[in-house]
Amino acid sequence: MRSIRVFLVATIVAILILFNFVAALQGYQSSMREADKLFDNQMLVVAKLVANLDVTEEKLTELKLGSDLAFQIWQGDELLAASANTPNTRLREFVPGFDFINFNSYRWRALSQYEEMNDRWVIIAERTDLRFVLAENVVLQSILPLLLGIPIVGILVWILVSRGLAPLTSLSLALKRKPANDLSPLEFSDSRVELEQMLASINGFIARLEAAMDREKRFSADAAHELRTPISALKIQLHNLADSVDPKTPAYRELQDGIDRMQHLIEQLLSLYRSSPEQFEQNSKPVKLFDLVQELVARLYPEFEKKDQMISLEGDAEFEGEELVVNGDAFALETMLTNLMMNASRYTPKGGQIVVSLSRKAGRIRLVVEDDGIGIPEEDRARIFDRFTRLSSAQERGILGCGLGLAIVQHVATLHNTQVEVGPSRFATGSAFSIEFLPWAEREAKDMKDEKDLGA
Amino acid sequence: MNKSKVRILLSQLFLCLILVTNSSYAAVPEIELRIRDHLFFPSTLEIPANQKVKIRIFNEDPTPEEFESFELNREKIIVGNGQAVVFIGPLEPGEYPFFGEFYPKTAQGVVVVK
Amino acid sequence: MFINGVVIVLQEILEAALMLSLLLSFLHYINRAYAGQTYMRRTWVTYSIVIGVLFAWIYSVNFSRVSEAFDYVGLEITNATIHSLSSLFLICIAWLVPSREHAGFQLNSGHRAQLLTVCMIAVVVLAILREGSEIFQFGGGVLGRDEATSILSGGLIGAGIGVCTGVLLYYALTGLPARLSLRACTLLLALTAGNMASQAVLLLTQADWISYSSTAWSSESLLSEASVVGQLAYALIGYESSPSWLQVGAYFIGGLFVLVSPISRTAWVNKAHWD
Repeated sequence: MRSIRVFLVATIVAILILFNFVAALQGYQSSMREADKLFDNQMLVVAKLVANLDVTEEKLTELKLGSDLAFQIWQGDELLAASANTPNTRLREFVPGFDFINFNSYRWRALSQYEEMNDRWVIIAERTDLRFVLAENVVLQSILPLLLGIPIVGILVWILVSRGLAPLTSLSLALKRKPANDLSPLEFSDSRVELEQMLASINGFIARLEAAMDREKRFSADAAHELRTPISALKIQLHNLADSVDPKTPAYRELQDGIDRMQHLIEQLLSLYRSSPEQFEQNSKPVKLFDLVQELVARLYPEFEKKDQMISLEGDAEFEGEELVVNGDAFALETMLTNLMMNASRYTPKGGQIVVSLSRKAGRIRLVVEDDGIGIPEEDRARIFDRFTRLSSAQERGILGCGLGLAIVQHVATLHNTQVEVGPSRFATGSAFSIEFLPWAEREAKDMKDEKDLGA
Repeated sequence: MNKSKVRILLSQLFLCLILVTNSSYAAVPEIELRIRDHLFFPSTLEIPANQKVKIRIFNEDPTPEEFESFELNREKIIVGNGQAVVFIGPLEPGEYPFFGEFYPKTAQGVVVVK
Repeated sequence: MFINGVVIVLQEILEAALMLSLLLSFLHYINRAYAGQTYMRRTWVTYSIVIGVLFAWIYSVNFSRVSEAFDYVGLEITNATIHSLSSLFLICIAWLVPSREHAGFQLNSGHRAQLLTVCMIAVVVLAILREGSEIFQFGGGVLGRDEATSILSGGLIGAGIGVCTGVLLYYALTGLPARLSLRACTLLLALTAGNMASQAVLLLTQADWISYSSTAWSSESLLSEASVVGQLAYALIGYESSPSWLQVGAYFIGGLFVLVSPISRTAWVNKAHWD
């Protein structure tokens, strides 16, 4: 992922360095050119002085020249005087002006000048390396601070960019810390002009989300009341109708089936919407899974008996001295288990077998409901949890259902931070639905760890 | 495998690569150029026009030097106390300055083509 | 001697940094084209820099031995080999970068990504080997001298300009819209491949292994190779003030191999964008 901070720091520092360094180079070069001119002008003055020297021996020895300057005074082909560090030959042709020459193991800046007054050719030479070092030492004094300043500039840019990005960082942190069920507008005092629109949009989304959830809650409550009442009335009417019409006539039967289906559909729809995440948080408490399963098996036993199906429960209330307790909503779990078991019964022919098993596996509680019924083709397994999905195999067999059962199962599983897996059963035919729960004790430990991570 | 065999093999490889087949082994006039105290001796090389010339450079300093010339389009490092060979030309008459890139203030010279 | 340090370090670092920026921009383009999935990782960059510096040091230590080989033109032969290989690997990269034409079967096969990584590593290692060995040569001669500080600060300024130009080139190339970025990257790749081929020819001419060809043009007075802009132009597009015709030919052939690659067709011909 690309970082805004790295991009800003890298480009700003790179541009700063580039401009500073190139400017420093330009400064260096023009200063060095100026220094060269200065030295050359100096040589012109020296040449003038040397040309008018008294060339008698005594005077010359008084003239103390360092090894970095050389001179020759010629009159025609006669060498009148010269510094000790020069050869006896002409240093350069008698052409007025500056040039570079090599002698005495050094490179020299040389100047030839003709003095009309006494008909002398003067050749002055200065060591280029020395005059270069001299000039450079001066010029470098202005460049070195630039070099030393760069790390400081880099750190400052880093700090400033971090400061500039701080409101963005704290906004994303505030969003991250906001609990999932907290739909109040985001309080963010440290806002900036650039973040205003984003904050307004986020709060707009939150407000609309809250309104939508309110509507949904009201709908569930209203629907529960408004739909259940007429159905109860219909049931009573049907019961009364049995006095005048023979309940065994096909018309009566179909009416009764239709009302039952409608009641089932409404109950399923309601339970799908009733278990919202925030309600789950409130209702969640330790549930003894074995007791719940046992109770449900007992309660649903008549349904299995009607189809001559064998229902059995495997596993114990305790596992290695520890009760199988999960953290959850008992009502939601009950709906889930009922759906799973009734599904198994529905898709298993008369005289079939249904097994509910509870076990502990790798620190998790595993619940499996399996049957030897018609099973689910592998290619359909992915979509059976979609709402209002009914497989053609079930429809062909005339099995009743509204296509919501497994959607509810998955919804409840998601609320409990787990998922439903479907696969072949232990029998030759049929399918197995398995769910793994995190035990109560470990969940608590994990919650504590999460809080610690968030606090850190 | 001896050096000349390697050389021939490699040269053929390169020749195939660029489809040019003229690697002349014929005798080429050779001039010497010495580097001492970061100076070129001689600092002016005179060579004939339109003639390939082999310059053998001896670096008598302990430090490496790089013979460089934009005009001649040549660039070559000569290790300290070592020697190297650079081919130049054939060239049009004129002056072609060269310098030692590691010590450009002192190591200066010019090839004069006549 | 300050300016010395600047010029030598700048010209070597600049070339390696621009090469690296170009490859990283390509890598960025490839990963972006794969909708944020990491098609190629970037961890190899650090390793190839380390390997490159190590090789450069080994080469630099054996400089005099290499230089004596082939009748004292061993350096040219070695460097020409390095340049030819670089050019070859750059052309391979152009042909390996997944283009519109092989986007389909590409996603599932890791071979192309692996080969591409190997080629990129090779190019980076060769670039650092080539440029680093010269810095080692120069630096080795400098260490004991009085002017060490001024040369060192010059070197730092040169390195700063080189690295920062590389950074800015990378952000400029990756900041462009995808199609434009691909075009710029492909063009630069072609120019770099051409430059490497041209340098190989120049070195072989210098060693008299291939024949002389006349100078194509001379533009030293217009843009000096020694100037900062000249150095930038040399590192970026292989500018030479007085190249020979053979060099120009090699330059075009090297560039052409890149410009006829599938990725180049994706960049210039195909209307619909790849991602």
